[in-house]
Order: sequence, then structure tokens, then C-alpha cells
Amino acid sequence: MFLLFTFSLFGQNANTSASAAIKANFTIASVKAYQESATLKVEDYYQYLTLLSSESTSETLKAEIKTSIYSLFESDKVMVIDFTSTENNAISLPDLIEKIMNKNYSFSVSNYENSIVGFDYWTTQYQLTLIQNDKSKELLYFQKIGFKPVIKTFGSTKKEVWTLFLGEITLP
Amino acid sequence: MNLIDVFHRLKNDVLLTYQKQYPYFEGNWKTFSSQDIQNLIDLIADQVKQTVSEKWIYTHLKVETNDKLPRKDMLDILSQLVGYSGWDEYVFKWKQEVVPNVVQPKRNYNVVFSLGFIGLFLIGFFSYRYLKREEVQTIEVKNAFTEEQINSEEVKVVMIENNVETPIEMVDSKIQITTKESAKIVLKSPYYKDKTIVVRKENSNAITLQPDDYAMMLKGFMKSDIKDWETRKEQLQKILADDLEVLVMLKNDLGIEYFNKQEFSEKLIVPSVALKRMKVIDIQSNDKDKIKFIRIIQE
Repeated sequence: MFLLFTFSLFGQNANTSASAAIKANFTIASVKAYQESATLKVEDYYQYLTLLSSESTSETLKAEIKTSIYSLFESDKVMVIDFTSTENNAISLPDLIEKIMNKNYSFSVSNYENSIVGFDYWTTQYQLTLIQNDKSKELLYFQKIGFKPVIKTFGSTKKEVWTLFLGEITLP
Repeated sequence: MNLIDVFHRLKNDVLLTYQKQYPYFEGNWKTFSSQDIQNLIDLIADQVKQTVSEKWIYTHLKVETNDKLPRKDMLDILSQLVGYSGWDEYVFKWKQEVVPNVVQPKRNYNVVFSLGFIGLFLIGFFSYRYLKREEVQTIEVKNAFTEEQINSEEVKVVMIENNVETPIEMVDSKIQITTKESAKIVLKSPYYKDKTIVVRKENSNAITLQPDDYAMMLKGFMKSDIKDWETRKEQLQKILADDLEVLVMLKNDLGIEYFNKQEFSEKLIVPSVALKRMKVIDIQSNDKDKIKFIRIIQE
């Protein structure tokens, strides 16, 4: 397998995948830039959930949206919060997706705060406003954001590139 | 001017002196009467204590022209009458007065000549500047097919002179260049084919840019809503190369994210929040005109 290492650009200093620690490879300013970009992925996620839960969305489009949602996460089996119930229990992402179908939810996200950066992740805290049938509910969530080198395929070429992933969602 | 001329001036001064004594006299030597001659003889006798004959006055003063200068003692008498010590002083004073008047015209000629020379120099200088002048030319940039204006943010323009590239701002689909004779202009855009032209002073026709069809389609897709997503998905397969590489440069160039064809297509098929924050700055195509590279700035 032919690998191209592209970590010399824009604060990416890693030369091998063995050195995968965020702090070892990026300046504080660079990490902040990636954290800001990660908030856009969180917003994409809830926008996809809004479309997915809409009764007017066709089944073929829903299948497309599901693909887009799973692409945001590192794992399809990631655990999230079941905001459809009052208990706010943990639930797998595929199960949550099935539960919100045709329930016409809409979401807005605000007040992002990032935790201390770990080896290959950080945690983002945000306020989620959930609206259904003109009733709104506000929730405070923690979501793990993964940031690590991943081998990506570009046609016949493979490159190891630092990639942002959404991770599990928990309550405070 | 010789001494005869000086004598004529002396004759004129004698008349003026006479007029001071006899103010009613308003004539000249031609009208100078016998009574006036007698009065002048008396005046000279009174003022200079010398005697001048009536004949001498008729011979030397009453005549209109004088072929030769009178005797020096007579010139001294007349000079004393008009206020000088003698003929020598009169001539000396006259030279002091006249020399500047004689030299003055020479100086005027010099001034005129100098002014003329300066004038010619200035005409030549400004003519040269006019011929070699740097003109500001306003040139419109248009879509070669639609003839419509081009979004100024989508085109980068540089002028190349002596291997030095100078960025030129495009405003309202127009560029302004300052050039002497000609200028090499390079226009680059992610949505139009690159164009290099030489703009000449006498030729400022509109510049037309040929759109890159696939890049234009991509631009449309990035602004789309969810409608027609299936068509979009199908067309993305056609216009994007399998080995597509998309680089998203994060704020202040502090980071970069990589997307492959599948990941980037997903963002376009179901338009996302992140997509609306993306601004394409470079698109490259392969030999089949499929898009193989996209550079994006995340705003």
C-alpha cells in the first residue's frame, strides 16, 4: 500500500501515525481552528436529523441522509442520548435514527465550549434546543470529538490525513 | 548712435529750457521764430554769460538736420544752458542714460530667446511625456458565452511587468490598469479557464473568459438546496474524478481537512451547514476534464 504523508501542512507536524497525539502535532491555535470546524459537523448532524425526522422527506433521500450522518461519526454503533424520551437514556445512533423518523423534530445548537484536549479527542459541550409540535426543550450535551490520523482513499491513492469525527454524546 | 545724435538731443534740451522760461512757446526748431531766437540769445547771455549769434542759431539749431558737429565751445555754451558743466559732461551723462537703453534691447532679446528656448523645451518635454504617458485603462471582463459580468470575487488578476507580478483588483467585473505601451495580464479563476493576454494602450477591448463547464456545475451545486438531489448525485459522479482530492483550509490557514470524492459528494447531495461556509478558490481538472482537485477556504 502506497501511503503519502501530508502532515507538513498548516501546523501538522506528524511524520508517522505512531505519533498521533494532538498536542504533539498541533499548536493551540491550530487545535482551536479544528475545534471550530468540528462545531460545523455537530450542526450538520442536527440538520441531517431534522431532515430525517421530517414526514415530507422521501425514503430514498432518508437513505442518503443516513449515509451522510454515519460519515460524520467514527463508528455506526456510537452511543448518543435518546432525547425522544424523558429519561434521556443512552441509545445507539442507529436506534435513535429509527425513533425520530417522521416525528418532525427540528434542532438548533448554541453555546459551544471545548474541554481540555486529550490524546486523540476533546469534548465539546453545547446547548441543544429541540422543537417538536411547537414545543421546545433545551438540553445540555457533551459530545466527544475524535481527531486522529486516518488512511483515506483518493481513487487509487491512499493518504494518511488527520480527520475529525463525531463521537458519543453524554449528559453532564 | 553717434555724437550728432547727442547734439540733436542737446538741441531738444535747449528747447525745453527755453520753454521753461517762455512757457507759451509750444513749437519746435522749425517754428522757432526770430523773436524766439532773440529771446534765446538773451537767455544764454543771462544764464551762461556767453554770446551766441543769430546766424549761428540759424545755421546749427534752426536746421532740421545737422551734417557735422558744431564747435566744442558752442557745444559747451548750450550744455551749460541746459544745466551741465559742458559738452563733455553732457555726453557723459547721456551715455549713462542711453547705454542702459541701448543694452536693454539686447537683454530683451536674450530674455525673449531664453523664453523661447524654455518654451520649446517644455513643448518637447510634455510631448515626450504625452507620447510615453501612463494611461489608466478600464477593461471589462465578461463571460465569453453569456457576455454577462463576472463575479469579481471569483477571478484573480495579475499584471506581469519585467517578471514582476502585481495583483489587480477587479471591481464590478472591471479592471483598471496603468500601462505605458502594453501589459501582460493573467486572469485565473476556479470557474473559468485561465487567460493570459497582452493589453495595448490603443486596444482596451473587453476580456472574455471561457467558463469551465464542470466547475460551473459544481458552483451551482454548492448553492443548491435539497431539491433535485438525485440529479445532483448523478451529475457529481460524472464531473468529479474518482481520485478527487478536496482540501478545506480552516480559518487563518491554521489547519486543513481532506475529503475524497465520496465524502465531498455527500456534502453536496444533502447540503449542509458546513457547505454554506465553503468558498472555492481553486479547481483543477484531469485530461478528461473531470475535476480532480478542489481547494476550499472555510469562512
